Amino acid sequence: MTRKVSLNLILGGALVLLFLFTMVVSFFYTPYDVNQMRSEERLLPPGGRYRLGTDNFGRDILSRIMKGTQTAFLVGTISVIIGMVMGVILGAVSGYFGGWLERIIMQINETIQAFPGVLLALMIVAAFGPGTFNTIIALSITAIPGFMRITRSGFLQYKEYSFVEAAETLGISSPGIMFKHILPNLYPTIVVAASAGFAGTLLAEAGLSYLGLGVQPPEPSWGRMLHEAQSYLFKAPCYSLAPGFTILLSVLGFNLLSDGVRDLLDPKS
Amino acid sequence: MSYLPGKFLTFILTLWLVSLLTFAVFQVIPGNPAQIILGTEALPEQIAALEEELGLDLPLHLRYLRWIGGVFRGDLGNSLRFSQPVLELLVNSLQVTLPMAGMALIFIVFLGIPLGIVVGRYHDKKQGLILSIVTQFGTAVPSFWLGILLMLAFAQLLKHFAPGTFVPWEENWVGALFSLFPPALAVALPKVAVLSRYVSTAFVEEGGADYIRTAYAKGLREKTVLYKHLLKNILIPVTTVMGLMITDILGGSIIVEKVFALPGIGRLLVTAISFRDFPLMQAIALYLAGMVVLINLLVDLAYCFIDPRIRLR
Amino acid sequence: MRIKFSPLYLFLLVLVLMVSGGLLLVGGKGSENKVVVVVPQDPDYLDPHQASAAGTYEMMFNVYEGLLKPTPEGGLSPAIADSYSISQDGLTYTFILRKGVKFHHGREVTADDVKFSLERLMGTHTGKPLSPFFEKVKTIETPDSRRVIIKLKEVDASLLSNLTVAIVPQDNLNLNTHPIGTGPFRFVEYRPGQRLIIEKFKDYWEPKLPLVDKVEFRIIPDREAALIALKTGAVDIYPRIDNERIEELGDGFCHLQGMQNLVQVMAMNLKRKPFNDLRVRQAINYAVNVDEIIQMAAFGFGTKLGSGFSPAMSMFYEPGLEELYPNNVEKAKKLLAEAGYKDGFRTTISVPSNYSFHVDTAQIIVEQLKKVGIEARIELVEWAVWLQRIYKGRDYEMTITGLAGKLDPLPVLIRYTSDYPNNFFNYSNPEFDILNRQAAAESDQKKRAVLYKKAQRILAEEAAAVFIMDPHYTVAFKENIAGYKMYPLYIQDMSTVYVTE
Repeated sequence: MTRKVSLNLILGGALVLLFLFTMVVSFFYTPYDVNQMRSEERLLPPGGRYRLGTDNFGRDILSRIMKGTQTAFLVGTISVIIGMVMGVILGAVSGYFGGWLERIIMQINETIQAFPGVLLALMIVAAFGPGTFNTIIALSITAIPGFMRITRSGFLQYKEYSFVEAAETLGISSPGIMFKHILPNLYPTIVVAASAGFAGTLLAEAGLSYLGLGVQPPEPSWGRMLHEAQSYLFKAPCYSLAPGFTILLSVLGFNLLSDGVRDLLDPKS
Repeated sequence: MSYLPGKFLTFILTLWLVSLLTFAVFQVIPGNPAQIILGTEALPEQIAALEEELGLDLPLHLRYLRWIGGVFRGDLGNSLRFSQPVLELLVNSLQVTLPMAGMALIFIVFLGIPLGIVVGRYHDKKQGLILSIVTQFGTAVPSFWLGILLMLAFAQLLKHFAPGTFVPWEENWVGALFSLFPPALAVALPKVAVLSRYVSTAFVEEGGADYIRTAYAKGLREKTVLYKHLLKNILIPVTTVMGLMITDILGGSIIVEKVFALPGIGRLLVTAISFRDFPLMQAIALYLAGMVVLINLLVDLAYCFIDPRIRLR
Repeated sequence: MRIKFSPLYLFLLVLVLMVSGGLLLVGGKGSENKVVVVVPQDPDYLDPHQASAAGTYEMMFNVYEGLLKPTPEGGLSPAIADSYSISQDGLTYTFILRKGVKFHHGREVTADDVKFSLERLMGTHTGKPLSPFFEKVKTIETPDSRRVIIKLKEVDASLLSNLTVAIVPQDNLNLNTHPIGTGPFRFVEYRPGQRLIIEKFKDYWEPKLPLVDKVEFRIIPDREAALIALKTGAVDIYPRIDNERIEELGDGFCHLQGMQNLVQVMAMNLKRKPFNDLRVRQAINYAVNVDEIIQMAAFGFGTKLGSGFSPAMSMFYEPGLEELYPNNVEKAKKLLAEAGYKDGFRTTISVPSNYSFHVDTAQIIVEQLKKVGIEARIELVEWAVWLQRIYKGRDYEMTITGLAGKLDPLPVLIRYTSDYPNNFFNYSNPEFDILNRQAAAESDQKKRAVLYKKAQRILAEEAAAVFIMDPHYTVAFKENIAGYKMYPLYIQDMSTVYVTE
């Protein structure tokens, strides 16, 4: 069992590190200028001067994919952090205090969850316009319920424990108990959820950008590249392969990492 | 509060909040439907006249009351973009989306559960590991990319497949089914992988191997064992996942419909939003969210049915 | 150990059956005399007087007719009217209706129907005009059932081209559900998002037409899907196919190509700095390489423009203006420096996101402007927002759009007159305004042309915008389709189309 555990972790970690590395590199170096257009070198197949070929403007696909990691990580990181902070706070409050506060929060949660992620994102983008910032807001909101659920159930479990009672009799304030004594016990679960949430956010961002509502051109985004590639599906099938595989591998990386961390922290499964 | 009535109360309350929210969000969206309908050549007087005709000049709360009152009477109003009753448009596009979602669901259940059991049974062998890697990849595939690849494959290999052309059911139901097959597959395959992972985990945790051993000792046939004893025990996690998945399918089909250019609810929604067709947007959003809430309720009911103990929790 | 899961096998069996069944059934199309045409969008209103979308007119052109009808050459020919005469002073138009023109529900068209239709558009009885084009009409008289006399308050040179509007029967007001006109085809069915079907009208006044029994307009917004549909044979005609895709079609397909009478333009908000400075506008015109845009965005299939008018309407077109600002980076930099922008400036190009052609163009222009030191950012806005904020609100710096041409130059060039409510360029030039006013009141078309040509030159010299191109319009069809006619308008005339073999 231990062998398999490390395999998930190693593979996932390696993939994530690879993408992180690519992102860092892309700040300083890409094989070609990301936005430079060359009218005579359009839709070239992979190989040759351009490793992954060129797009419909003659831009280097590899460079754009590299630069795209920045966008993906920017959107992913911020959305997950916002979703996590909001989710944890709401989950902690509702789990710890219970009562009418819990009921209200749960009702809000229930209402958010009623909207499928794409619908919610569509509504937000329609109201505030497409763009990276609004994509982040939409994805943050969709990320909240997941974090909230695990935090709440954790709090429900831990608040019955004697150390909480002891802390209460010592007169420690509620926020103190919640965030200093109970929350640290939930860190592992939250980390696992964050990693999985990151994978989900990457997928969602790609989907929104594919619909043309997420990240806007000329900023490179994997989903947007797929959107553009679809118009040249038969002329240049390779164009739609590269961004697709990139999304697949990045999501896989975070999924594996999440599984690996879970196995590591919870050896019995 | 006891379990079931509580759930019903939440159901009603959520639906109401959803209706309020969909109405509110669509009111703050910039863009004037009258202007969009009349286009670039319109003169200001024409726009004002149309606004009045469409009832856009009424105060907000009146418009909400008018709308929600209509919903209760089964009257969703007229679409601004299509000049047709919203209900008709909705029914029309659901003829595409619902069968597709249903087909995807069938694929998920009939492929995902058996696959999960196979993976679970061989989880400590080489075959199991390979399958598990395959499903791990499967969960990471973006369904719209899969759709693009499937379209490439279908149009290239089978020369007769034409995306974007949906044959009406009454004209040629086999053809209709056929045109929904690739998109349903694109929606289903990643979910098959997800479901199979849940099933295999549950299988291993429930001690699938021991079950089989005991069953053999009792002299029962293998198949009976698998389906009767084991499936019952993995049904609860599966129900939970399925509930979430149906929600996902509803949302995910919006994107996949776009890939295959299907005239379903997703396309209708995107059109409605871009034309600021308020009655249509609200109706679709209400429908989608309402479906999710309803499915959540059904999942809760299913729990009670599968395991009566839950009712007492 | 054997692995056996009968549901799995059953499932696979069903799959195989479905694929093979689908192949058999989808492949075989009936042998009826029917043509399937791709259209990119749904109609808005089937009532021709309420409809304003070009996408509606494109289809319903086959169902409705006016007194006159546009011709493929950009002229007018009599339709419901048999002939007409105009009085010396240009204020009285007399139309004689054609004999035996029937509505699709069987009744013959009378002068009262014409009067009813035009008055409905003018809002004579409701007070709410449905069309702004008949403001100059004073009265409509019907001395007998075949004569219509239209009297004007003042001379209106574009009246005739506006009389192509649909004539509808006065005894049917359910045009949105039951469209009835006099065109060569009658309406059969409309399924939102899927298709609109029309069939041959047997009593059409031109007895030989139409040549096919049925036409289906299939609504496919996605261009890639439309292309595959044509390739796989699901549709017969694909108008407005992307020019660069034609080579992919291969054997068995033909295509026609021509100008589409559209002005693709990059507007600069003339009320804002730095675009209020002529030198800056000229610099931008020098910096933008239109030939490169035509190559990159339209794959070479576009006609370069120099002013706000397409050569498709050759009679009114002023040639030579397209070479007024040849691509010249040095000159652009010099002009910018003179205007006080030695180091260039930052600006934003707002583009409607649903028009990928304009989005592509914007991406190319951004790169071109970079060379002269102008840092432009692309802002994609939804069409709805574009209409409200940019077009109506005039809140933008630069924007790219396509302005559709008409049969008459008036609605094309009036867009730049200072008192026109939709002059989103914020262009204002008294001389230009006067020329337009004179042209509108001039009934001699040759004299009008001279005035409009002068007006075009002013627009170009003042660099009122960056006039880019008229992207070519290409229609692809299967080789067994013949008789397709191209118009300098957004219409699909199906009456002359036929299937060979």
